[in-house]
Amino acid sequence: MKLSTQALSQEERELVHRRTLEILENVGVCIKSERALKALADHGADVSFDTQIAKIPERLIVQCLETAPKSYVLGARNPKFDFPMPAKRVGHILDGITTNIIDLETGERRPSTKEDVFNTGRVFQQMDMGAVAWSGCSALDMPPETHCLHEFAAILQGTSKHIQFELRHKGESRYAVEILKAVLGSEEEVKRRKIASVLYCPISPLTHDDSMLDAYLELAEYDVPVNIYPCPIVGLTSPASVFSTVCLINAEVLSGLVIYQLIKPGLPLMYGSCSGTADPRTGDYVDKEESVLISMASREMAKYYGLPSVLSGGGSPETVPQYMIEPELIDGIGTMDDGMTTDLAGMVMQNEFCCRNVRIARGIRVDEETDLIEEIIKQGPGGGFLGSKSTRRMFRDSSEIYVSKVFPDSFRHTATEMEDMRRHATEVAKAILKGPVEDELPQSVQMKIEEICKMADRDLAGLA
Amino acid sequence: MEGRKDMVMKELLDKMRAAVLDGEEEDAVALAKQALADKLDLKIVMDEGFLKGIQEAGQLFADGEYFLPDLVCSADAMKAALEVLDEELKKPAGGFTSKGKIIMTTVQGDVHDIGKIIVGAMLTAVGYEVHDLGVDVPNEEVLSAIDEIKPDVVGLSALLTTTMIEQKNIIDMLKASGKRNSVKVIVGGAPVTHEWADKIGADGYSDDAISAVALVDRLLS
Repeated sequence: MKLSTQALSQEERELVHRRTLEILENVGVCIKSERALKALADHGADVSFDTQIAKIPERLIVQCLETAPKSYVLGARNPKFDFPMPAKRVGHILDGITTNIIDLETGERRPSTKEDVFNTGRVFQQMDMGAVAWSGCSALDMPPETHCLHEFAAILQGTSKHIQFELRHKGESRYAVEILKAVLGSEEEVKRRKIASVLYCPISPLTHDDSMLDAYLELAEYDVPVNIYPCPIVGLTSPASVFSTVCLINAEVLSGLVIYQLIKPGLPLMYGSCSGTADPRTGDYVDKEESVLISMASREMAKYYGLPSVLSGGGSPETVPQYMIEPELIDGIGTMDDGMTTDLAGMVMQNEFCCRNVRIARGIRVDEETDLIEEIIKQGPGGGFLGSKSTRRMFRDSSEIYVSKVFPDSFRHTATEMEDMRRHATEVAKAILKGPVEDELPQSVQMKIEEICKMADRDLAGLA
Repeated sequence: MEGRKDMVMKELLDKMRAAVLDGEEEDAVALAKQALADKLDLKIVMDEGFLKGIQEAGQLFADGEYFLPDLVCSADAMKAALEVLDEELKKPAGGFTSKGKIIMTTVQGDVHDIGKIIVGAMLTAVGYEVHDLGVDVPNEEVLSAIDEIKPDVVGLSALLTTTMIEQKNIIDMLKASGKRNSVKVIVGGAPVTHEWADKIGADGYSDDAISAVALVDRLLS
């Protein structure tokens, strides 16, 4: 059977829901977007335009949970990478958005560029576990007003998997749509294929900023899915307990869900959860044990509402429980320095840890193929199994006996395991970048995207 | 009789020290009000009471005994006491001089608060007078506050790659109005780096609150 685990009992899930209602109905959320506030007021929420606080009644939450789709497909530029939600297997999201990259040639950390975003997409393209490419690193060599658009353009050209991107200003939205139209050919195809979604971060605690929200509300007209991804830090921007942080995340996701569903009923949404814990001595964000538990509980709350989920914190050996709870997507490959540095060699290594975690979470298969009693009888005491047909077969079946495609088992459990893996992973990443660009966009489309970016640079200068 | 009075005063000062050390804001306010009502010598109240508490809290933090929330609570209690005593302390005989005035603010377009609060608490704990302007503060308001408060240092926080640019804009506005040399500008926030600080002409950058205090000490030495 599959390994299974549980973070909250049914009663505890119901308590999270009740606490969430208490928060949304009595405390409310701060919403800095006039458009969102107006939509809530029009639908009967208790809204103060002075304080920008909206108190959301249970009735609206129930209504919006009903209109939020429970299944849809995150399309990809290459349809073979289309990712259905809910998913049959867990996929990984490329982590982002960092401001630095580890240079593959020098091994040094340096500010990232648009070309780095493109290269990050190219390496991600080859990662088995990689399903959705967040923009990776920042295009710091581009104008500050439009760097998000440049990152979107670059990652879209680097990988043909589903893209998740960010915008910071509603002025950018129409250029993002133009880029999608340049790739897909028409507005109808943009709506139908959904090859890109956006990452939306409420600002903990309980605040919805206007810049990102207004930009995405524009994109909602084009059915661009939204990952509502609260990122509280336990002890700083959420209370210092796992349970109450889960409640806060739930309130932030549901209030975001209400905003998006009121403005565009039926818009595909993801229940996201990304958390860290404050370093008690410095206040720095630290991704550690509590994050695993918060992610697991958030997955259960997403399931409670029937929503697809995106969790943070995969790609390391201690995150196995997150794979056992079977979210659709896990964020967490490709970065280091608590999400501030993109690391292409690290991405190759983290992809490997993901594969290992998936193997463990798959559990123990008991069927005709794996019940090898006949082999034991045949070999008897003192016999061996290396020459058995079943051994030969199973060693080729990674769902039973995991054999890495990238790292030899001889690296494992040595004093230099991590150094050996990093050295090897660096060569793997370099080899990918030396090879051809997979699913490269036609030159004419690349040029069109470049023109759109330049137009945005010109039109949006000074708007940041 | 005099001995008993001394003992009562000593107990009171110890309560003030403990109120700040333990981060008990309400106790600190009550004790500060009592000090005013009893017309106590505020230099003694500060030096042997409240300041002693914040200094001990700072030392415990430096020793690794206190965590950040302990220090923030102590700083809040200290600030609350100072607010009560503010007017009297400002009089020539008030007996309290801060190490310097600091403005802390999160730049316009950015609502992230925490890093700035931590740095502000640390600076308060070592004796600076910290004025926190809040978050998403328009650049013009930052400049007005600099005119009004006349700080020694202004700290500009930005958590987003898109709002970092406001740190540069404020420095440029200070230059344009001929006030750049009247105040030291320090910058911080997750995406901010030494390179960025140098590029925009800031006086300093630090990537955590402890080195921010060292930076301010250095800039004002």
